[in-house]
Order: sequence, then C-alpha cells, then structure tokens
Amino acid sequence: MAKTILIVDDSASLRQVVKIALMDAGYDVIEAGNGQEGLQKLDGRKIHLIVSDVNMPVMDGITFLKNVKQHASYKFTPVIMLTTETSDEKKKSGQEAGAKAWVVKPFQPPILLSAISKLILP
Amino acid sequence: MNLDAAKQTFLEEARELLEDMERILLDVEATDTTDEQLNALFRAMHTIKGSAGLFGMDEIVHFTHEAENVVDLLRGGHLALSEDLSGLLLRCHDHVKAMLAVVDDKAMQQDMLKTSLLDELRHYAQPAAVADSDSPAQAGVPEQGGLRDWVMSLRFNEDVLRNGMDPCAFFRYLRLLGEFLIVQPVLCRLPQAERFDPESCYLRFELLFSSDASQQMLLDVFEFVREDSQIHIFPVGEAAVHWPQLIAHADEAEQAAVRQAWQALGLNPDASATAAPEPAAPVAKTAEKTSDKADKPAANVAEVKPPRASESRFIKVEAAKLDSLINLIGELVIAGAAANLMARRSAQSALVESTIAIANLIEQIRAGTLSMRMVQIGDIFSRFPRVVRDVSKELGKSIQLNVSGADTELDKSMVDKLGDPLMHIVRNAMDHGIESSEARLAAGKPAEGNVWLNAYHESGSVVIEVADDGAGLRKEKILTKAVANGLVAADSVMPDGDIYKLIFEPGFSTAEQVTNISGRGVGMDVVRRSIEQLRGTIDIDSAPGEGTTFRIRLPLTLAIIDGFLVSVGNATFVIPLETVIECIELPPDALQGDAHNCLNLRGEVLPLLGLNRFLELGQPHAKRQNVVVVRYGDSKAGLVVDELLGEFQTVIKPLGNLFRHLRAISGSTILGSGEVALILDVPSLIHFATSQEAERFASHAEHAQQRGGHGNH
Amino acid sequence: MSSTIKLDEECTIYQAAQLRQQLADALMASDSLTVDLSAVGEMDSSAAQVLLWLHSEAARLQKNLSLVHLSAAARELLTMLGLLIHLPIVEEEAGHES
Repeated sequence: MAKTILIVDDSASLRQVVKIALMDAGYDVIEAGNGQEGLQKLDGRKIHLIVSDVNMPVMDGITFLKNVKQHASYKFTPVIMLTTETSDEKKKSGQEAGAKAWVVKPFQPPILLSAISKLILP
Repeated sequence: MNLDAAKQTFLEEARELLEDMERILLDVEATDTTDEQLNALFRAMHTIKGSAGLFGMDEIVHFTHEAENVVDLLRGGHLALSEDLSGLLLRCHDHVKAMLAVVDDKAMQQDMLKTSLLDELRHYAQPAAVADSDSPAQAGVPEQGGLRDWVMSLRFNEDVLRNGMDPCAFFRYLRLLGEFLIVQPVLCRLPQAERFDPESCYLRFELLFSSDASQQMLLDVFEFVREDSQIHIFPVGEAAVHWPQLIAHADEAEQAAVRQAWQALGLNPDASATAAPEPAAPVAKTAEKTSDKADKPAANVAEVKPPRASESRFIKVEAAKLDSLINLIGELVIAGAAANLMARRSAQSALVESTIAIANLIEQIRAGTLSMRMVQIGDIFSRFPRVVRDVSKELGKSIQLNVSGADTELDKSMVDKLGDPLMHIVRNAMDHGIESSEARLAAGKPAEGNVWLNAYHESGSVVIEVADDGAGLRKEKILTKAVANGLVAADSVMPDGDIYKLIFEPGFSTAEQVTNISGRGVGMDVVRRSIEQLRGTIDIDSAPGEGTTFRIRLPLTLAIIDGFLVSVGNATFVIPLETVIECIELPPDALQGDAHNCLNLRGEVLPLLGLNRFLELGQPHAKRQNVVVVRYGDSKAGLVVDELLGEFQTVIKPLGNLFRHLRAISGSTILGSGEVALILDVPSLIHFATSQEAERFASHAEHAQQRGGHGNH
Repeated sequence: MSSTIKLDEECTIYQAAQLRQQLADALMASDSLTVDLSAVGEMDSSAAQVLLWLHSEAARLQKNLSLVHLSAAARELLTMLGLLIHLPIVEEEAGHES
C-alpha cells in the first residue's frame, strides 16, 4: 500500500504541483491549507510523512508541528518543513519544536521528492 | 489535474494574494500595523515566490525574493512601514502583477527585472543584501567519479527515532545509490534492563558501501540528521587518515567497538601514519562530468508512474460556454413547461407526475448553473481603496473608505459592467460630495470625510450603495442649472428625488470648479445608461450638510426569471415573481371613477393601474378582476389584471431594437404552449402608477375630470 | 517452562514501548522464550533494537531466547542493518544468508 504524505501549505497551487509530483512517484497525498486543517487530518489514518509550510494563516507550521509532537499517534511522524532562506529565526524556533528536516523554498519538485525519499520511500 | 491547471490555480492565487497585499498596504496607512498584517504581507511575497519557483518562473522568484527580504525585515521589526516604504511596496505589488500578466513571455520577464524597484528594495534590505539571492535549489555540483568504495561511519543521535528519522530509511535510500558491501552494527551503546528506552536510538553502524555517487551526495542522504549525529563518509583509501577525527568524540568502549567493526570491514585504523591517501579527488575530477546523474535517484522515483487524476478545487471555464449552457437551460425550461402542459392536457396523472419531477430537476440545474455565474462584488470593491487613496491625495482631502457587503454575489456579466459606473460615482462623491477639510471643520464635522460602499440583497435585487458624508446635493443649484439648460420648466415643482435625478441628464454638471477627477459633465448620464442597460435603476438620497447616497438596484441575473403569469384581455403577461408581494381580488367598485384609482390596502394607499386600459386592450372579459401587488424599491403599486395563471419560469428574450423605447415592457418569452408572452417592466409601471396618482392628487381640485388617468375615457 | 509470543503485524516506534514491556514480561515469566515474527508486516529500527535488547536481557538473566518464523519484512530489515548474526534466530530451513 502506498505511503501517505500530508502536505500542509496555504498555497493551493503549490499543493497541487507537489501532489502531482508525489503521486507520480507513488505516494498517496492528502492536503491541508493550514496547520489547523492539518491537525484535522490527523484523524487516525496512517500518515507516513508530513510536509508543512512555516508561514500560514490560522495556524502556522511551528504551532502545527508542536501539536503533531503532542499527538500520541503521530508524534514520531517525520516532518519536513518548507522554509525560505530569509527566515532564520523561524528556523530556530522550528528546530526547538523538533523540526529536523528543512527544504528551502522555492524548490523544484525533484528536490522535495528526494528529501522525502530519504525519510520514506514510496 | 495537470500542471497547466495548477498554473491557473497559481495565477488565481497570486492575484488574491496581491489583492490582500494591496488592501493591507492601503489599510495600514491609516492605522498601526499589526503582526497579522505584516505576516500577511510577507506571506503574499513568500507564497508567490514559492509557487513561482515550482513553475520555473525564475524572474518572478528573483523579484519577489527581494521584496520578501524587505517585508521580512518589516515583520521582524527591523524596519518601520513608512509612507515611502508602503508606496514602494505598492509599486512592487503592481510590478509583480504586471510580471504575472506576462508569465509566458520569458524575454519580457527578463526585461521587467531591469527595474529600479530592485535597487530601492535593496536599499531597504541593505544589511541582508550581501547574501546572494541565487537559486538555493542549485546545490553544489558534485565531483563525480566512477564506482568506488566508501567507508561510512554512521553514529546516530539518540533522538533520531523520535524525530521520525529512522536509520533504516537512510539505508533504503542508500540502496538506490549503490550497494552495501558489509554492514557492521555497533551495539555497545545499547543499555541493559530498565535503562533501555525503546524510543531512543542506540544503533550505530560502520559499513562499506560501493557507489558512483559523490561524497557530497552521500553526505546529503543524511542532511536531516547530520547536525546532531556524527556522520562520516570517506573513500576507503582515505578512511584511515580520518580515523582520529572520526573517533574524537567516542568514549573508550565505543572506540573499541568501532575499531573492531573496522577490522571486520578489512580496514586498519592504525595505518593512518603510514598509508598515503590514495589521490582520489584529482582522479575523480578528471573523470567525465555527468552532473545530471546527480538527480538520478529522485528522477528515477519521479518517473515510475503515469500521472493520476485527482480532484481539484476549481475549474476555470470560458464564460461563453457557461452562457451557452444557460441559454440551453432556458430552452429546457420552456420545453419542460411545454411537456408539463401536454401532460396535463392528456390527464394522465403518472405522466404529469413525471413531468413535475423533471421540472424540479430542471429548476435545480437552473439554479446551480446560474450560481456558477455569480461572483462576489468584492471583486470590484477591492479596486476602490487604492482609488480613494490616490484621488484623495490628488484632491488634498482626507477621505476614509468604508466597504461592507463585499461578499454579496451577483452575475459575473454585471460585475464586469458595473466597475466603471461605480468608479464614476465614487469619484464624484469624493470630488463634489466631500468638502475640503477646512469647510468640514467650519461646518462642525470631522476633518476626515467618509465614503461608504455597501452591497446587499433585497427582494430579488442586488442593491449597491455609494454614500458620502459630504455637503449633500444642492437642490436649488440643480434646479437653476436644469432650468438654464432647458431640462425643466422654470416654474416646475418636483419631488426631491426627481430633482436629484436631473444630474443624470446628459451634459449636466454643477461643479463650479472643473477638476480632472470628475466634473467634466460626462459621466453621470453615462452612469445611468450603464445601469439601465443592466435592467437596474439608480436613486439618490441627499440631505444638505449630511451627505448623499446613490442607490443602485440591479436584478440578480439577466437570463432567467421566475415569472408570475397573468392574463389581460386575450394576452398573457409575465410579471417577475420577485416583485410580486401578494394577489388580491379587486373590490367591485375600486376602478369605477378615476378619483378611486387607488386602493386602501390594510390602511395603506396603494395606487392602482388597470392594465386593460393602460395597455389599451379593451374591456375585461372576466366578471372579477384581480390585483397583483408589486413592489420595486420603496414603491408599491397594484396592477389590475383579469386572471391569475400562476408561476412560470421564464427565459428572457430581449426585445428587438424597434421596441427599445417601450416603457412598460422589458422583454418577451415563449410559453409552453408556444405562445409569446410579454414581460412587464414593473419599475416603470410602478413609476407610472405613482406619478399618475401624484399628478391627480396635485391637480384634483381644478381638473378632476380632464386629468383623471391615462386610459380613462 | 517455555512460552511463545507472536509479534503483531505492526512493529514500529509507536508500539516500541509496549513491545518492550510485553517481551520483558514474557521473558520474566518463562525460562525459554520463543518469539514468532511470522506476522510482522511493518518493522523499523526501533523494533530491531528491542529485539537486540531482549537478546542481551536473556543473556543477563540466563534465559533461552529464540526468534522464529521471520516474515519477509522482518528478514529484510534485519538483513539490511546487518543484525541477523547478532540475534538468536532459529532457522527451520536453510537460512537466507546475507
């Protein structure tokens, strides 16, 4: 069964492109438009990896990550944070929250795909 | 779903983000900035940059990157949002918008990067500008060698498992890059008994790996754990040289265990002193460069399966397709009504029932299709903050714009045609409505003027109001001018509303000082014409010293209406159902004399209009007549008809040019039976009924018999 | 007294703490413990680590431990990590040598 990736980003187009790339690679993809929606997707289904933007409306990626880390069924799920090189401070607070994997925006889909494959293969 | 669709989504999304950005920049001018606003500004540039990168729009990435730098400084509190800076960001907003408009024209985009805006941005971002903005995606080109053996010392941090970074995942990924020769786990760190925490990682590995990947690529496999773990990768020949460095942070037990593991790998850690390192690097450099191989694992992964279809949230559809669909549904409505009629005539109840079921479905399709054409009026409202800002600067007035009801929906085709008239009215309000600050202060009002834009739904219409708290319209002045222009007779007495409406007459302008904003006398008549073309009306309320309100009333849609069918004489007419309030039987004596051309409806005086006489259709057939009480805006009237035939869905067919001037008829439709029915223009009928009534009231005393009513013989 | 315990389909870090407890209890309760890995469908490094720990505990407590019926998933992981020879695996047929 295909591995499931949750992509949390407020840009629908980014989600779409990432989704196409990931599904082509053989992953299942579910989407959320912000951290809050992301948490709602943690409803018991199996999620093998989470890709999350940092800067989002409603609930940002760092808060989302902290919540994931509190969630008994998802706390060990690998999380890749999407960031820009301009947000060092955010990166620091993200690291404190337990974000270890970062991919710098903007990226081409293969970059994200190879980052994901290091953590889970399809 | 494909990439083109995603690109459309991107453009749509970028447009929205830019609108947000503009709104915020215009907002914050008046008030203090909030973190949320600054974050949203940042997000606009950040998200556009991020997504543009995905589509390879490097120029947009480049530009938005520079803007993002500045906004990030703002967000971090390192910069303040001065008027100058917000102006610059507004211009950046425009620039990004312009770049997005030509996304497919690479050369144009390149040209657009040669803008002084970038220098201005860098001026603000100076401290940060040193960093190279070039694409972060371009990882260092790996030195590429042939197949070679590598020693890997993977001493993971205890937290890797908890962080979701499972060592076996890296092993699996490595298998895509090469082949494991020998794997020696180092287990000395595994605690005994209770001290063992099953969620910590105690596993470490020393291994030999054969691969043609570069050292950098292999190290990159561990990019997410390298910071906290001790990951060392060397060509076999160089390994011994690095032994001291590699073992530096290990305790004695681990040193011993690693040493043992190396021996099992056939390596001699103590050979460092003697063995000269194999000149691996230079050899590798001479080897043929195949940098595209660097992406091999990812590319492999990416090419395995064909794209799958999946749901997307929006589809863009050509408006013309939707129009033709709506047209067809109109025909379907008629055909459905015809089928229903035939079914009734055949008196087969099963058939009647099924045509009713079909009619229900058609109704749902109709409503659904029409709703596809509905867009939020906010689309046009959003242009105004900027206009108000610019115009008020130009006029040297301080004016605040207040928008409400931006989520009110109306037909897309109307939205498109409404922008210009609204713009005229708003500019007019700012130019002529709102007084100068001095004049306002002198009048005891706050120096800052207000313009309100408001939209809402009201009984089947959309109402859009443009209000100001300016000086109000000057009746006398308008009258004087109208008399001077020969629009009205010198001694005419008119209701206020009608006087105000004179400003919609062609060539009418009372402004003493003609500015370049408005006041050229073109405009207001054009405004009225545009609104009327949309089957709408425009009214003005004004109070001296308090302000003026323009109220535009538009039908929800142009294509289909729910009609109420009535017969008058031999003809059938359609009254738009949304205007119908109730139907009552005509009291026997109501239309006897012209003085009684109104009805006492529960204490309210309701002007009546006998359609038989008004439309000159001869005397009524029916013994009893009915009154359809209709309403438009604030006015009501009773239309006297012969028979009530019930509700009927109606596709509006516009009247030909020949009949354009007809005041009482707004269109035609085809009935299920194939007959043509005319659609009554309720606003003008009401107007006629009320003015007739007013006229009669005014002149009743002297000319009761002569002026009794239009069709009163 | 000997006993057999069969591991569940999913042996990942989410079950690691529970797995450790279950195996520790079973080891305490008998002299000879057999762990059946035939049902294991998903296994990660943490589960492998628990088995390694159990092995060392058995040695410390002088009990017998054997791992039997390795599922394909379990065998793949233990092979890849070079752990097969570090665990008391009892093969009924000719084993798959790495």
